[in-house]
Amino acid sequence: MSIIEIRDLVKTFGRTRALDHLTMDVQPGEVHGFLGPNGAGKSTTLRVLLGLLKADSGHATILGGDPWTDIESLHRRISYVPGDVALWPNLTGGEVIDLIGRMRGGLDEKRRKELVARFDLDPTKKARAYSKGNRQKVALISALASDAEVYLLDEPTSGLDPLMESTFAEYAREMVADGRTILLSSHILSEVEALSDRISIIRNGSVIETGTLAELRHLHATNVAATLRQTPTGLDRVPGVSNLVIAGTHVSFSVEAEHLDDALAALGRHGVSALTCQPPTLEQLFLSKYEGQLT
Amino acid sequence: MKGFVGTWHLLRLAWRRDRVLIPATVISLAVLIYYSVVATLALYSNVAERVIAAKAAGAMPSVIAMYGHIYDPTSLGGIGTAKVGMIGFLTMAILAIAIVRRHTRAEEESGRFELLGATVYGRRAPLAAAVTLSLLTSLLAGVLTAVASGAGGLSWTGSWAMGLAVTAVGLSWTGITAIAVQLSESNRTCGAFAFGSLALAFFVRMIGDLNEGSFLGVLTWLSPLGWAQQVRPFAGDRFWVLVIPAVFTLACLLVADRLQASRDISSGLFAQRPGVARGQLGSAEDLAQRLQRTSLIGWAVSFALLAVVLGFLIDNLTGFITDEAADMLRKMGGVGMMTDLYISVEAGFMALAAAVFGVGSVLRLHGEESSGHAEQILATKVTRTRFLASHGVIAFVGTAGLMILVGVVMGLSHAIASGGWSDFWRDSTASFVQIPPVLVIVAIACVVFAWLPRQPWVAWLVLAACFVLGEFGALLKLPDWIQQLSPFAHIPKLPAEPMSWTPVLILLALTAALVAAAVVGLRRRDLATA
Repeated sequence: MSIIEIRDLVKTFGRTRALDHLTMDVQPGEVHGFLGPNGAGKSTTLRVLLGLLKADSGHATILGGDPWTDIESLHRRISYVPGDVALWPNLTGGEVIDLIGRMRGGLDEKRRKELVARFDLDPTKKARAYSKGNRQKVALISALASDAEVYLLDEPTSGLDPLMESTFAEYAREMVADGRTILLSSHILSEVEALSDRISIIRNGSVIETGTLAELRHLHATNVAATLRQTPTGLDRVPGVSNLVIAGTHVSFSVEAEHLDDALAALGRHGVSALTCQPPTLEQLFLSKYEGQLT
Repeated sequence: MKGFVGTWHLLRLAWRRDRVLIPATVISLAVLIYYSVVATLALYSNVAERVIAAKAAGAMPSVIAMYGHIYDPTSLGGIGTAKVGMIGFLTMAILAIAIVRRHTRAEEESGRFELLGATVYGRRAPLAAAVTLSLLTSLLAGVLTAVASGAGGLSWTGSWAMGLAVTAVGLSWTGITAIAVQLSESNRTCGAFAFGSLALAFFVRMIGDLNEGSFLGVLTWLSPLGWAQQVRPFAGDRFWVLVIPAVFTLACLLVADRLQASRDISSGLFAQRPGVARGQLGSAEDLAQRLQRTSLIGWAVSFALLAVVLGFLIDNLTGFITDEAADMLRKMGGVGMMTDLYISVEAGFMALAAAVFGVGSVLRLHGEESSGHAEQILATKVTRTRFLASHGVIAFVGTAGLMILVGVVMGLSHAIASGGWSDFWRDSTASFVQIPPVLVIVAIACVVFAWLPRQPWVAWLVLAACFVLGEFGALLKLPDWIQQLSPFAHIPKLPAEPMSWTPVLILLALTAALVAAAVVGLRRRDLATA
């Protein structure tokens, strides 16, 4: 049974359609990456799952319950990090962590201590004195220190330095190994690529692609770069080849997965002295989806 | 003088943001003044009638305490603008505080100044722009006041005197707020300083007015509200007095400029103290109490002090009565009647003040929502109802508590001053009976928060409307059914009127119904994040 199940969710704000028949599934024990351009509907989806917004139509369940009506029972089992962390200016970071932790239903003391140390946060500073990254750390620590089953994280590391990002990644892996589920909305493609088991790409309020990274890659082209023993000819006639760049005996192109052997055979006919094959990066997958938007 | 680059742009930005607030407030005030003047003129066409009425009003300590003396009972303008003049001063002061604060501290706190910070503007520009807008608004308010009053039929010299007095109040509070804004990091604390100074100025002026002729009478000259009154529009038109607020404002602005030079953006003069590493707060209720406790304490202390003074005066009312007034009072029901009237009127004003606290307390919920705090609270196991209750309970219990405090302290103070407890019950119940209408107003604020999340100012409008209906309803000859819209119109004004339980119970039932409506509204709507 899916931990999160969303079917045909529609949400309109005035004249803007934020969610347009969105359909998505998150399985238990996975890190599910949620990617999309600004304004695609990622934060709106998370807010619907938290019962902060009511969808106009369609249905969403989380942990088997209705997010709009079962708030008290569900929220004990969910942890949330908002995209824009707003803290109470006069409370210290430590006070906020304890407050949200207790309002949620409890904090793991040992974990909390460890997190405050690992994330290098000064819990005695008042919230108004924190930088953006530190405010995020407060929200992150109170989420990670809790004992939830599902974590809804909206760009949790967007303001953190690379060291803290990798600390976060470690904790995320630990939690998933423990059987918890994470829905991670992020713009940091390398992080999503590294952590996610499955990815959903959202655009204009609906999910346009979903699957594991391998599945998504399978639909796209591999990048090939080679140094040949003679100047290549006839490569442009190989089916499935695109973005062909020839510089003397160096050659680079993209080729669709099913035509990879044709391309390699063509290269082999010229004699290959160096060869690099790279699966498409998430960035390429992502950007190729949005090429359509710009044209 | 450098540092003013960009002032013009910031001024235009400030005006763009306040282009509804300022005209709406200033024009409403002018309209109120106009109709008030016209109605008073119609009421007292005969000089003799007018003089008696003025003297009777002038003998009422409750009137003096709230509105000051009527210095020339024969002048029509005197009696025509007695109430509306003080209301104009207070409105102007509040508007000036709001304008200066909105475009300085609030901008820093929200981070919007940082956005501008990389553009070209001098260090002095933000405060200069805010102050300029406030000064221009004060001027506009003064002009409209004068025009409304003169157009209503009063003498033009007196009207200009009153208009300039209103401007003077605006100027004074522009200066005071400019300083307040330098003192603290938090927008809320600056507000406490600025509004606190207004309350203090009112209080000082009140004591001065009530003790005119004696040594304490000098106090009225220590208050910017007192200066505005001492211009004595329609009763001498002493324009020279205006020099005092002008000089005061200039001095305040120079001090504010100095203070500003020595602080960073978004910091105050008092350094940030470090806090605790672990917190005691563990629930939405704890959080609400922590957020509201300073404000509640401040209000409670102010109320207690005011109640002490009001209670003490109960036995000293006779000092104000002249022979003609005594005669008229005898016709109205005697000195006892006057005392009862005094107590009930004061209780009524304290109730309005308590309602201000109550509405502000409920609207903290709106602040939490628009700042993004509510999102994090509601993502935990706190339900919507519980979130509403966390601040709502403080609003209801706080306002009821304030009125109980006023009643008890006023009774105590009178008992101590008069040496006997016989009147304690009479004195205190006057305040207790005001609790139901105040709770209705607080409940209306809850409904506004629940059903009109983007228009929280409606709650303030309702309160202002109740105030206007109460003070001006009879004068403006508004139809009965309109006057009955205010919950304050329905309760028996103890001790002047006999007690009746029906309206009290109805108002309490109405409060419960409104709160239920608020809960329904909050549960069905989306959270409106910033």
